[in-house]
Order: sequence, then structure tokens, then C-alpha cells
Amino acid sequence: MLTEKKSEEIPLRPKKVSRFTYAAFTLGNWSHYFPYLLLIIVFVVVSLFVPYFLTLSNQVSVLIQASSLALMAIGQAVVLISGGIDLSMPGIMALGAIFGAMFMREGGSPLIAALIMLVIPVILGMINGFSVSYLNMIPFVVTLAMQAITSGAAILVTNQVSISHLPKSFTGTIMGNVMGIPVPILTVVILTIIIQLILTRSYFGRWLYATGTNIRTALVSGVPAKKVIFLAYAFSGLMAGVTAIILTARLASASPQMGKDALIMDIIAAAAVGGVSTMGGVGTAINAAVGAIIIILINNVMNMANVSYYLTLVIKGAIIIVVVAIDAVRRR
Amino acid sequence: MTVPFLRMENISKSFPGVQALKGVNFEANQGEVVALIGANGAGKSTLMNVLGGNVIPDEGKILINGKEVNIHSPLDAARHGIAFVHQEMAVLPTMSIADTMFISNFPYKNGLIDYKTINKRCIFILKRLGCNFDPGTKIRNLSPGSQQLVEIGRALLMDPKIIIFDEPTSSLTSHEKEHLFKIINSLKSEGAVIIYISHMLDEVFRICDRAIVLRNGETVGGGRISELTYDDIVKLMIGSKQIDQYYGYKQRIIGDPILKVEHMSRKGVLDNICFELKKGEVVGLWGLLGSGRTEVARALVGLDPIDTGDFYICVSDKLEKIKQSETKNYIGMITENRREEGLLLPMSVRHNMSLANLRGLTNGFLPFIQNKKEKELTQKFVDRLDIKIANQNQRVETLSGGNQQKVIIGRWLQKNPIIYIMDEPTRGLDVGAKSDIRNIINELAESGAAILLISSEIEEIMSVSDRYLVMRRGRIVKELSRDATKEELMLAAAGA
Amino acid sequence: MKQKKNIVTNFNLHDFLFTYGFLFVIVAVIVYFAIAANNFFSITTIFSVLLNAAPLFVIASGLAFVIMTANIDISVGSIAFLSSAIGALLISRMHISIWLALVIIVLMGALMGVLNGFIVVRLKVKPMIATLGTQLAFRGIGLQLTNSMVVSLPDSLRQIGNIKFGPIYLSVVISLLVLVIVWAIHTRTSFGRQVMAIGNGVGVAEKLGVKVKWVTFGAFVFSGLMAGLGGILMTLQIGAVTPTSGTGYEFNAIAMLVIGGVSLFGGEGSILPGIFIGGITLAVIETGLNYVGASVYVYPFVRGGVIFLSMFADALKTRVKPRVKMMTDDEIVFSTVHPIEG
Repeated sequence: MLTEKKSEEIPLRPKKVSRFTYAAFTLGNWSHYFPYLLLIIVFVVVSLFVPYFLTLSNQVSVLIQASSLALMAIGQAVVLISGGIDLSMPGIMALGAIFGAMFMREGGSPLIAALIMLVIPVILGMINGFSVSYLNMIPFVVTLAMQAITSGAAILVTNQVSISHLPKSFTGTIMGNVMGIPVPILTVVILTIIIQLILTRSYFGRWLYATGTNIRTALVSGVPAKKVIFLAYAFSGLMAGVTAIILTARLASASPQMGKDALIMDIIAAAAVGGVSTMGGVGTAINAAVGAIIIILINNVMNMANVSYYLTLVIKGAIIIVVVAIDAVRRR
Repeated sequence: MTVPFLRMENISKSFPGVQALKGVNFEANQGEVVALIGANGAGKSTLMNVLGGNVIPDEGKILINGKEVNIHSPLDAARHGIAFVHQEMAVLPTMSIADTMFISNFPYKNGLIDYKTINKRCIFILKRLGCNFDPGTKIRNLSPGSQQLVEIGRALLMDPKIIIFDEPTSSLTSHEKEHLFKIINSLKSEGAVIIYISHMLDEVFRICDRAIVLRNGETVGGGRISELTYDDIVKLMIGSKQIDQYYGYKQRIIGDPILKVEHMSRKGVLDNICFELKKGEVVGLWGLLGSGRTEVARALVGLDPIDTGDFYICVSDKLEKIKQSETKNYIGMITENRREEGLLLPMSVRHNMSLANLRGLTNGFLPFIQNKKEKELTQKFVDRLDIKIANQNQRVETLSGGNQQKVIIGRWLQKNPIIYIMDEPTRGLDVGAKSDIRNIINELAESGAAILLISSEIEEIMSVSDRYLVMRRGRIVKELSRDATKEELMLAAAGA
Repeated sequence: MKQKKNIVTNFNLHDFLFTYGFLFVIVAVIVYFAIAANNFFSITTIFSVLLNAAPLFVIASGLAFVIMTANIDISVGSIAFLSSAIGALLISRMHISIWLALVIIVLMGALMGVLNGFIVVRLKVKPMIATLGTQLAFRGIGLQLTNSMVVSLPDSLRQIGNIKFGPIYLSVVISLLVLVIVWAIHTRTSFGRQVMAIGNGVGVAEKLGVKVKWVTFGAFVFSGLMAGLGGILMTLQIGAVTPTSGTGYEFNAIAMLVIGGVSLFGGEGSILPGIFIGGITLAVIETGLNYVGASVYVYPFVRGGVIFLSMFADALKTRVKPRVKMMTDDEIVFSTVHPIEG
């Protein structure tokens, strides 16, 4: 480190170029627009190969599918940005969904049930957050254990039987439309916008990025890093909760299958492909949402092309490794 | 008089921006303990790093026993019989003494590590060092002094002819120090060349035969210890030029105490630190490397834990007691290692500069940062500190060291706390930037802030401080007023 | 740390509690179950407990090396599966000899370890993510090769897995033998010692002359190799390779290690008696659950809880790293010329 690098020469912004594009370029972070590029490529390729792909109904159904994954990916993104990882999202989501569904089955009001579906994952997320930030435990292990506990509990509590026959007032509302737009899609769009704003424009967002980039600098500069990390995990719990509501309504049932381990691969793949760095400090909500769409598209394509489930696994595993490796190499 | 066993001739080395060594000559004989003395940054560590193979000189040669040798790596140095016992020990806490000593070359027997031989050799070496340890003892169960003995043992394993000790007593109890001196004497009588880097004059006068003093990368003098006094050495260390102590100093109005620290201690690191900071005052925390100044700073803002300590802040004209966790709310801390703890390297100048003051950039109601306000504030301090950037979005890791340091200072200026702690704030800056910082320190003091300044450059600390607190070995050993001379400061720090 | 007067013996109470603390846990567990279920202490129970644990002992002993370097490898279950699948397919389709198959399986495991090591050391991907990816990929390849179907071993081989000498299973003997050998590697070879050194601190190890990159790489290869070996035991016991063979094994292996005192922070722990104790504890807990009539679905739940508790204990134990100040070249301060003096 004995040679000093010269400061980058960055030209003045030409009037015609919008602030957004200019910032994207000068921040030198091409991963900002790579996911969009990838999305376009995947989109084009798919539409070429699948005849009815471009129909509106198909597009909508893809987006609805992607909505649950997008919500979870956004939650995961926040945790990744803070420098951690959350492997327990499927399990806590399933547990929340199951308790809420059980409540409805016993005749409880759907509104309270939805609340239960939110609160339980949040509490579990807080346990994760507490263990990581205040007990100094390793995020990977804590959330891995939490996943085991919650997915196991889900099985225990339901005896492997899924809970269905949920009240129409619940499933109908969530799967209905508001002004012609399906509720799940609307939810994702709204949440993505809100989270994106918080991440990029609020002081909490700055604290989050600082903590994930260099926690020591953050602490010296007065950032309450421990609180930030705690909240990040609580937030991913919240996202798992929202997903629980939407997914339960979509499937019209809640089952331990919702919380199976394999789901986490899709979540991390979505975040990573979308541009969220697994090393912390980089990424946005939009990244996660776009990544989720890409992963769902890939899943669908594999499905339709009759690619074996296993080859899909291999490909997804390879994608994760490649994306993360590129990220790692770029950041050294 | 025979030819000296070790001769270093005309060694020069420069790093970007500084000439660390300028044609230094150094020699040492067998059976002799030579002290290498100098103030911080005089070049003594660099010189020994050249000998130890960690640094390759630009010019000059090294002769051992009359023959020129090429030392380009620690391995080369080892091969030529040079052992370097560093100040910071390389410890493997969960492993045994035996493992630590042989970790990179275990002797084998029948396909497995030959612990019998290892244990024998360990015990032999440890006995030589006067200890009775079982080679299976884990390093973490040893005191720092004993750990150091293991380090020395490791060095002795390869039967060195030249042994360099770098500030060996910084973490030793007085009992362990005596033990170390005994070892050095016995090594000396076995004919080794011993180089003792230190600024602890009482130790130097105790066990060394000769001394060589470096200043600003040059040999400025030395001689037989028996023919020198403390004063002689101190004079050589600091040079005889008098500085204008009043340069850049303006008489200030110093107010009431704004911070009071009492009985701050941490076992093995700090001992009963008590001091006050007054409004509008610049207090120079002076001492040589390893004296504990940075530790005081870090403990003060809660970055490091403490065992005991009471803190008082002046709030509305009265001193009120606060907890250690609250001190950071009143203090702006500029750490000494900007890359590890001062900067968010991949992020922009603007983001880095607003980091401490984010809440202040919102409009109080919504949590959103007002872009315009942020840009203006950032620009204000960029201009004031004259930070050379292409634009505010530039990533700080592409800035030069000096500009990076200014970004950090700018960050705290934005928040404008009542107390600043600056740990080596001008490290790596050029002359012009250094004087800029000095001016800023003065301005801040004039506007009523209290500043605790840690600097290893004696001229710098003398040009802005209203008074000095001198530290040695984790204690504040002396308080000196602005009238103190360079000699007085150096003597207080070096231990007389 | 207070230095005790020159210690002549090796004994230290602190270390003892650390390592053997969990012995007390297992004793407590055994006592509980002995009270709760009647025939718990029968010899057959004990040995069937050991039989179940045998493949995991082997896998955990390899994984231990990776964990001791402060890395992690969660693909071991999939490695066990894939390598065994390859071996089983070769045997049943190409009729190769069992010995050749064994060698190939182990080599395949090592090869997969090479891939892991490459991604982590050379591409510098976080080991957790890297092995998460390979876990998926290996499982996928295996499922593809076997077409998601069970691959049975030929009759002649199916019996081997359950050979007993009296009450003692051959499998168990082999696994214990493996533990001893790995213990020897860990405590009596440079490789083993340097693995521990790396866990103490990469920088320090490097400074002391350890080739950190190579040793870390070697740890991953070793983990893969052991996973292959453990997979053999696993397959022999069941008599076939199923699509779900090996799932969750990484989890159990980690549980074994953590309970047995191997710290996830690296540099701490032992193969013997550590893994043995950890394995027994886990197996006892599960067998005990079985005897008490707990539903199968409780297992992951309990396992997760046990891991969580052990993590907690582990995190509490972990030494607070002292703030070691290493002077790098550009931290050395050079006093510059005073502006007035010129």
C-alpha cells in the first residue's frame, strides 16, 4: 500500500444526462444496472422461446409468483446489507402462517390472524437479531439453528398436515384486486418503494450501509450499530410475516412445506443476482425485487423446458457461486 | 580492535513522501549490547527491519563477519543468524509452547511429529531462559512476560548470532524485566550481538554497552554508555535547534473545565488516569510509542472497556457525572488508523463526511436526509479544509492519505461536538496540510471547544498545546505547562 | 492473565472445564433417559446408538479441520451423497469391484473438496455461501445421475454394513478407527497443527511461516475426502443410495462438533475426545427421544435447540481478541521538517 492512487478524474455532468444515470455511472458501481440488463436479457430470451409468455395474464401470474419471493428477498437484502445473513426466513414464515391459519380455523377473525402472521415472525426475527448483535453469535449459525427449530416446530404443530379451508374473507381480500391491480403485486410495489426510500434517503439507511461496510468506523462515528443490526433482523422477520399472509392466501392453506430449507437458496439467489452483496454494505430493495423476478423467470423456464429439478438446483447453485465470486473479486 | 561483526553501511530507504533512512551507518561487535535510540519516527524500526529482512533498502550494504550479505526476506535474515524479537508478539493462544515454537518446521519421526525431541529442545531452551514451563502449556495461560520468553525461545532455536530486541519491556512487570536483563547478559557472555531498540533511558543505561542515536533517519551520534549522560542522549534525540515555541500559538481564553476524568483504569493497560479538559483549551497528550495515549483516547469514548473510571461533563455550567457509554455523545474522535476505523472506503466523500451528523440533516420530522443541505454542508467543509476531490461522489479510497484524513476531520466538524480527541491527525499529511490542521485546531479552541491532541511529532504538539500531559507505561507521569522545553518533554517521556 | 508459578505439569482447570464440560451434559442426559425409559441401558441400545452415529463421526472429523481454520463447509452431506451415488452406480451398472469403488468414492469426495477449496481460497468467496452453493449443486448432480431413484447395492454387499462381531458392529469399529487416525493427523502432523494455528489468527500464522492458503485449501479437500468416506459407511448401512441420503448431515455434524468443544470461531477443540463426546451426546439424545416415544418430527426441533444452546455457550466462551497493534510500514511516523526551520 505504499503507492498512492491518483484521484479519479470525473467529468462534469452534461446537462442532458439525468441525475440518476449520472450517479449510476460516476458511482462506478456497474452492478447498479447489471441486474436490469440481466432482467431484460432473460425476459427477451424467455419470450422468444415460450409462445404465450407475453400475454398479460401470464405476466401477471409471474409477478404474483414473484411477489412472495420478492418480499423475502427484500428482507434478506436488508440483513445482507448490514453485514449478516438470515437463513431462517422460510421457517419463521411457515410458523407464522401456520399459527395464523390455525387461529382462523378455530374461528378467529382474519384480521387478527393476519396480525398473528406478522407478529410471530417479527418476534422470531428479534431473537435472531438479539443473538447476533448483543450475544455476539455468528449470524449464519444462529439463523441456521432458528431455521431448524422453526421448520421442525412447524411440522410438530401441524403433524405434517396442511391447514386449509380458510375463510373466504381472508383469501378473497388478499388475492383480490385494488383498482385492477392484484393485491400481492401492489403490496410488493408499495413496500419496495418505501424500503428503497428508507434505504437510500433516510438516516437509518445510511447507518445500515455504514454498519455493513465497516462496523468499526460506524461505531467510532457514533452509529448505534448494535441497534441497527437488531432492527435489520427484526425487519427480515417482518418481511417473512408479510410473505406468510400473501402466500397463505395464494395457496389457500398453510403447511410446513412452506418452510422447507430449499427455499432459502431462492431467496439468497434472488438477492445476489439482483446485486445485493453478500459481503455487506451494498444493495437496494429494487435490486432484490428485480432479482426475485429473474429467479422466478428462470424457475418457470426450467419448468417449461422440462429441465430436471436437479439440473435446476445445479444451475442455481452455480449462479450463486458465480455472482458472489464476481462480487468478491471486484471488491478486493 | 577487530572488525565489527555486524556492519551496516550507508543504508538509505525512502517511502512515498518521506526519507526514512539517509545513509545510516551502524555497527556492533560480538558480546556487546548496542542500544538503538531515537524518538518516534527517527528510523530505528526501519533500520532494524532492513536487517531483519522485512524492508529492502534502496542503497547500502550489510556485512556480517566481514562478508557482504543479501537479506531480502525474513527467511534470509534467519539463515544469516539474525533473530528479531518484535514488540508485538505473534501469539497462538490456544496452542502449546512447543507448537508455537515449531509451527513452521516440525521434526518428524516415523511419519509423525517427534514430540519427544521437540519437548527436549523446548525444555532446554526454556531452561536457558530461566523458566520451568511444561512445553505443553497453552500460550493463553501465560502472562505477556512469559509469552515474550517463548518468543525469545523461538528466536534462540535457530542459534542466532545477532539478536534484535524491539522495545522488549513494554509489557513486562518489573520482575519480568529483571529476568529479561539476566537473559540478555547471559546471551551477551555467549558472544551474541545484541541490538536493543528502546527509548527507555534507564534501561539503556542499565544493560547496554554502547548507544547509537538516530534522528530524522540519520545517525547523529552515540558512544560508550560509560561516557554518556542522559542529557547527552536526549540532546541528540531532539537536536539542538530551538524551535520557536510561539509559532502559530495565540494566547487563548481558557474557560472552565468541560470534561473531567477520574481514576480511569484498565488492568495491564491504563493505571489511574485522571485529568481535566477546559473549554477552549488544547491539551497535548505526549509520550513515546506504547505509552498508552491511544488507549486513553479509546477508553474515553467507550471503544475499549475499562475496569474503573468516573466521567464528568459540564452541562449548563455544572459538572455532571455521566456513564462511559454516554461520553461518545459529546466527543468527536479522530482515530489514528483512518483506513480501519476512520473511513468507509468504498463510499463517497459526501457519505463519509455526513456520517456523524445524519440526524442533523433531516428536517426533524421525517427521517429523510435533505440532499441539498447535505451537499451544501459537505461543500462547506471541503472548501474550508481544502480537500482535493473531483466531486463529492468520489469514493474516498481513491483519495490521497492526506485528503482522506481531512474528510474524517470534516466529518466531525459537521457535527461540531464540544470536545475533540485527535489521535495523530496530521499523520501522512504534507507540510501545507499539517499547518492547515494546526490552524483548524486553533480555531476550534478559540470557538470554545476542548481538544485532546495526541501526536508523536514533538514540534507539532508544542506549537498548539496549552499544556502537556506526559504518559509513560499507561500512566500520566507528569503535567507540564506551555513553557516546557523539548528536553523536558523528552526526558519526561523517556523516563528519567 | 495471572501467571501461575512455573507450571511443571500440564494441567489447567480452565482448559479442563472447557473441553470436558460437555461430558457433564451427556452424563446428565443419560441419567435423565435412564429414569424416563426402562430398557435404556441395554447393551443393544448403546451399540445401535453408535451404529447410527458412525458415518457422522467420520464426516465430522473431516469437517472439524475446516471449522478449526475458522471456515465452514456445509456441503459435506451432499458430498457424501454424490460420491456414494457415483460409486453405487459404477458397481451396479459397470460391475466394478468393491475395492475400486471405495477408492473412487473417496477420491470423488476429495475432488469435491478441491472445488470447495478453490472457490473459497482462490475466488475468495465466503465459505458459507460457497458451500451453500456447492451443497445445492452436488445434490443436483447426484439426483440427476440417479434419476432421483434409489440405487441399491448388490445383495453381496448389502450385508456388509451390518456385520457384527457379537454385539459390536464393524461400522462402529471402523468409525472409531478413523477417529483415532484423524486424531493422530490433527495432533501429530504439521498439517493438523497448522490448521489450528490458522484458526488462532491468519495474520499471526502467516507471520510464523505457515502457508495459510495451502493449508486452508487442504482442509477443504480433507473435509471432502472424509465426507466421501463417511458416505460409504452411510450407504453400507442402508444398503442403498437414496435421493435423500445425507440430507441434513452437515447440520448434525456441526452439532456434534460444537457440542464436543470445537469452536466455530476457529483454533479450538479436539478430535478425541471432542467429536466422540459430541457424537455420543447427540446420538443419545435422539435415541432417548425415540425411546420416550417422541414423534419423529421433534428431532430437528431438538437438534436445533441443542445447537442453539451450544452456540450460545461457544460464543460466551470465546476469548475477546486483545487489540493487537501491528505496526505496518505506513503507520510509522516520520517527523518532518518544521516549517520555520526549513
